[in-house]
Amino acid sequence: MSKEKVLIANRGEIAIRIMQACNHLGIDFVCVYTRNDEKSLHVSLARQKGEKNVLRISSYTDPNEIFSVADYTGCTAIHPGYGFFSENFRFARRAELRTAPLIFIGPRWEVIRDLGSKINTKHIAKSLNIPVIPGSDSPIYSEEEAEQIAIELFCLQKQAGIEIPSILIKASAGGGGMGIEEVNNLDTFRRAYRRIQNYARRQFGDEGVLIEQCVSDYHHLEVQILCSQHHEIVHFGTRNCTIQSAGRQKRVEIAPGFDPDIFEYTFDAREVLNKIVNYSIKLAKHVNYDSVGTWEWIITRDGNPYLMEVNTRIQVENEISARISRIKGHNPYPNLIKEQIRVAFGDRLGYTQDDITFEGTSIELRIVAEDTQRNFRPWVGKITRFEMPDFPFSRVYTHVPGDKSYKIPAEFDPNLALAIIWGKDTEEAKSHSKKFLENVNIEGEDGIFVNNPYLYKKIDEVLRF
Amino acid sequence: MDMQQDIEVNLEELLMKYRENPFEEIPVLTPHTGLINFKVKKGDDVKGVEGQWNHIPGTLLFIIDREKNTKKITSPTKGKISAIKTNLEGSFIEAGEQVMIIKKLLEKKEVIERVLTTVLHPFNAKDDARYYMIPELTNKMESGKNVAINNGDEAIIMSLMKRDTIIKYEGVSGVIYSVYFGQGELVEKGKPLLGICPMEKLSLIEKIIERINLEWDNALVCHRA
Amino acid sequence: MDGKFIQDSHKTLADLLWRLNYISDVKGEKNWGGIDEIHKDIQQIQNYFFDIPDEKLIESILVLEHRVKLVEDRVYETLKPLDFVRITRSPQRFTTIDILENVYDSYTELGGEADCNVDPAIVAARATISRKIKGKTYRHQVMVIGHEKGSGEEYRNGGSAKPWGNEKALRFMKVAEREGIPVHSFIFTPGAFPIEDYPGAAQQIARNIFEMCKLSVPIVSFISEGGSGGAEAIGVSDIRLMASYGYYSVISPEGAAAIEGKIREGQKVPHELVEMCANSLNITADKNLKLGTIDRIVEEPRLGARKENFEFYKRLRFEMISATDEIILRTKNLKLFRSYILEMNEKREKGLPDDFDIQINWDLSDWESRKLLNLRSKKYRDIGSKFFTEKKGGLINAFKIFKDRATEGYYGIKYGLIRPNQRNIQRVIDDVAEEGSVILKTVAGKALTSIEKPVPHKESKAEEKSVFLSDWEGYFSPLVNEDGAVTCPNAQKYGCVDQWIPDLYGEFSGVCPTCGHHFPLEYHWYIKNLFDKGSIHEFNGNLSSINTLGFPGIDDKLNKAFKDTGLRSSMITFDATVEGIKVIVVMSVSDFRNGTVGACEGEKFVRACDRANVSRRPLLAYIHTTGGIRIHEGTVGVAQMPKCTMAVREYIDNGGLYIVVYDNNSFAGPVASFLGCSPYQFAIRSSKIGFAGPRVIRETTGQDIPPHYHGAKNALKRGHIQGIWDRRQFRKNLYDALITMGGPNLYYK
Repeated sequence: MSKEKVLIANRGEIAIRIMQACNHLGIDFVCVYTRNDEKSLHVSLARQKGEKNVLRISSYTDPNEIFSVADYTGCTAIHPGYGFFSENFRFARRAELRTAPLIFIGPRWEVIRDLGSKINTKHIAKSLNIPVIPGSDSPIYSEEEAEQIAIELFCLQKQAGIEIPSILIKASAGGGGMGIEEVNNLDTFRRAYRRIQNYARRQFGDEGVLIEQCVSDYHHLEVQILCSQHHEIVHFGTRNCTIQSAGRQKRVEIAPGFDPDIFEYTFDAREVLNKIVNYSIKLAKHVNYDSVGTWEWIITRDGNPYLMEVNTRIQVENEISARISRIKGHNPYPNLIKEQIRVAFGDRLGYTQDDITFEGTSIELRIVAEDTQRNFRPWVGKITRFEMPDFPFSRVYTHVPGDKSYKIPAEFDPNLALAIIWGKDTEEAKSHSKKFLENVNIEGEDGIFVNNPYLYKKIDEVLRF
Repeated sequence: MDMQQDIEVNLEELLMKYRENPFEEIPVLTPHTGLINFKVKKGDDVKGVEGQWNHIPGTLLFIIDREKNTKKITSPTKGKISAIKTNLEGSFIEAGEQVMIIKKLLEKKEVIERVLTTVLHPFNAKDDARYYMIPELTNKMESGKNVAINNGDEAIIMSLMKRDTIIKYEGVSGVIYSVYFGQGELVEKGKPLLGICPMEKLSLIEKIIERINLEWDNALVCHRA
Repeated sequence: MDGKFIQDSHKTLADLLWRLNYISDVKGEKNWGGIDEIHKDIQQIQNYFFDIPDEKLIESILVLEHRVKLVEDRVYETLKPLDFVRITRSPQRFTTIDILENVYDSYTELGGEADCNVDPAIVAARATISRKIKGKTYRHQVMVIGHEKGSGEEYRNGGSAKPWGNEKALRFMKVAEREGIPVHSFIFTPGAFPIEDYPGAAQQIARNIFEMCKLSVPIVSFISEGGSGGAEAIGVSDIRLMASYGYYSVISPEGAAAIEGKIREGQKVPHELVEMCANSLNITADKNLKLGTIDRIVEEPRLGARKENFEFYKRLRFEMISATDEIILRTKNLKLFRSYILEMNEKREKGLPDDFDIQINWDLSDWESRKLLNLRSKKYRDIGSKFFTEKKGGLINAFKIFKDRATEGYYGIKYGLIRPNQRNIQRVIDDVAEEGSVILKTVAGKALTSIEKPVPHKESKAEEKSVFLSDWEGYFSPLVNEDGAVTCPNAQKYGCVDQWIPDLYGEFSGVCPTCGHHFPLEYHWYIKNLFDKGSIHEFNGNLSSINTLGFPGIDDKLNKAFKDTGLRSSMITFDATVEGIKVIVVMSVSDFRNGTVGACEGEKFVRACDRANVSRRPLLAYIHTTGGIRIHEGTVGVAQMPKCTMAVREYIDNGGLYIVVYDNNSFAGPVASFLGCSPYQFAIRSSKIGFAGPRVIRETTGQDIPPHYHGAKNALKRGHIQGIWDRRQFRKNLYDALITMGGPNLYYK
């Protein structure tokens, strides 16, 4: 494996985690950074490896920069991390098809393309009898057709006893919360429809629109899947990511997805978790999935699961799933980034689902510089003190240097650190989390807004419906 | 009246300073990674963009080749190449690398601009962020007239972490005399965005401009001699 | 020395000086043939006029006169085509105002004076012209339209009409039509003033030609300096006269030389190249007469008529009257017409007559007006019909013959005594369709008066080479195979990221995903993506461009184009369907000689119009690119402007829906005629539309133009086009346009 060299096309803590994974695997790597990120820890850590392993680029989002550096430094593979190019099938396709091909550490580009479109995912899922949120499963271009679907969805909800039915109109080419509008009244439907249609045409050059039922009272669950290129599929259980900021950004995640030993649910939680795991595997098999991936699910209050989307990349919160997993004959718990790199180079998994057992509960806390009182407004300033406690039950990932002051770059989200906490059961994980947060010390020039008090408060809400 | 005298004394000093060193050094950075091929050498005179519509590009400084795509980088300004890293010729360079310096003679317009910063009321950036002028103001500015602004008027859009916030102008009422940033430019916290001239000072400013207009060319002649 | 003698001698000397000036004008050199010395001698005599004895003076003047004449003889002997260009531009040459003063009896200039005269380079005047019959004078009312070059302080742009000047011309031609009086137009233009300001140089010329095609009064035009499109703007006529020392050309010889020699802007064009072009472009009157682009030559005195040549005005009056008479008589009685022609020719041979034998009333009845228009139509449709080739022979070609005969049959109906009834045509089409190929076989070879059957499906298997057959299936833009990146031209403005070429030309259809800039795509892309699969059937693919004027080097260039592109001309005409709607498509492609239009392209366009007319289908002109009229075809190329406009006008008048879509670059003649006349013009994003390119504008007007001057966005702002279409939505927009503007039957009447 030592012939390989990975270009890490990302920044911050994920870049550091990929570096560590590469080090473990004995693979050489190259890091990139932009002028604003000069002070980031990922740059100085990479420098320790060697000056030539760090190159400055103009932007993390310009693929030409990544490929240009990859060629210059003689890389054989690119790890996209999360965000940026991680779910960009064109980037993966270019890596594969260019005259100097590079391994894209992620699924095949065809899979990224097919599962990258929510509507296509929905379409495939429906064909496999996997439940999806009621609504259209192909882009709608005609107003009459759209209205017909809207009326049906309203009736459906009325029949289900929902007092105020509600539907969502989405730009089918969109994603990430843009180009979505909620409609509670059929009379206003056409106007909203046209607004979204215009938006979609302007933004994506395609005026196709999706219409689906708006589900408001639900938990957000995830299934962590890992596949090799040799048709091997395993899962690493479920996660619950319901606690989110105003902008639908995850703040506290916990694995496993429900804990029926402690909380009471109106439905059979074990069965629901089994169901979503099985459905996820079914879909992964169908598309011949070949990397790590996350299947996102919505579980309604009455225990109905709906597949929302598939994230064809490593996720921020991947480690809590790994933290509660044990693979027979391997110590200690697995590293999914390492596994992702391994399978990308064509390795076999070396274990099956039967070898995987689960132990305890793990919580991830995302420490972010934001004003939780004012709509989670990001704070950009200079951090003068940054101390994270070191407990046997915790692990911290951060790109903020602890030994010098650090200016948060204005270009990116002000994520400061991730803390992975483990406990032998949910209660212990919760109390460990609190203990961790009590020992966090962050100070900024002229005061600071950071979300640890908010996280502390939210710990009591996890897994509770 | 006192204030005016103050400024006049000040102006004298400032002009003196610029007269002594009427040059500015402009570093030229690479826009992105790639192989570099220089097209100028040390001591060359270069031209900036020209033409009625700024449609004639400046002197070709270097070519940068990335992903089989060659990009021509032209001079942003008129001046002389005072330093150039010719040792980089043909090699792979990182983004934002300073590859040459253009020494440029300050133009009258620029001297005026600089002197005025000491007189105008600055409206500063609140945060490190990208800034945009609100479209109505841009339109008014383009029409070429003096644009008045009052305390509390919506003036600027601050784009921070993909969130846009409208910033209201705070400070003395007056005319927007100078804009110190380009649309969508990253401005550091505390750096000026706008230069505002209070109505009652307009005549003073015109006086300053008149004075520099009269004196600057002479100053340059002296310098050249 | 008596007063009379002094005066006469002075005048003679002054006249000699004028003649010397004229020689330098004609030869374009200051001291041609050593005239400076003669000049000096004349001035010498002028200076010492009263010191020289009479006899000596007379003698000296005689000698000088002789010397001037000798030089003039040599000028005459060495006259080259380029000299004709200079003759027409000499300030001593007669112009429209001189004609109004001397050929017509009285006139009133129309359109205001000074500031209100929107463009002094165009003169419009209501005038009377008179003929004498047995000593008695008869007057005719006419509308005179002409270019005025002006000079000195009264300089009128050398006769370059601005767009609004041509609009004025059209306005008063319509007045003439309303009043039922003939139009006499006098062309003294080096070309139109190439600016895009509303109404736009090209668009207004197109409107003029479109209207003049069916202006229901006789039009006689006279060319002294006929500069391409600028000439056509007022030049469509029933009889076109040309001064024997005039020139009529598709482009100035200098312009042609700059293009031929690929001369960069600001560099000097080699003189030999200019001479070569002037010789090859067939710009003189006799050459044009041979090409059929003019009808008759008006003889001028040796070395050309100057302002003082009153004899010439008399001849011009005779020619204008007799031309108008001819047009009138043709519509009335053939016998009368023939005898009149004979008589006039006799008179011309004998020398200029003072008297006419008969008075001819210039009024036309409705029926005669219609005949006038039909004759005009035929005249223009026939222009340039010798200048392309059409392959014949074999079974399939028998079918071609049928097709041609059918088209002729259509013409027969068109120009015959009976106006065809739409319903009858429809019935004939139905008949043919029902009986299918049986009819086709039986009728082939016979003289036909039938109608061509639309969409002969089997025809596509013909051995005639079609560009579609080989590469229809699995078409890929050849551009996608290149591994590399390109920078969007708007990158600086919108921050567009460099695109990977396979992504850009494959998935993104050549459109920048950030700013929407359209990178050019080859025409095959449109064929593949615009029309229903398998619906395309080319017709007239066997028509081939030729080297019309025998221009040096063009044979090789044409052969190379044939080989490289697999095309025989720059225009592809075919039947196709768009979402099931049948359309006739004319596609002008850049690959073949930069999409220029010559006789072959013109004929293909005309036939496509007629096919659309007969089959009652919408006509789409998709202009992938047109670089204008093919300069190597000279005025035969220019004549394609009225020819094509005539055909498309008749199609529109019959209720046809004509849509033009511009892409990439569309300039000059075609835009200024059969494209610009469409009521529905659209442009693909990032395309450029205009009359003349930036370089020509700079060189002719001395003004620089702002960036994007010809851009689609500006064309929309000026009202030249009705909308800008995204390439990716071309098909949908086209379908919508056909439905919304085509009405229920996609045909109005």
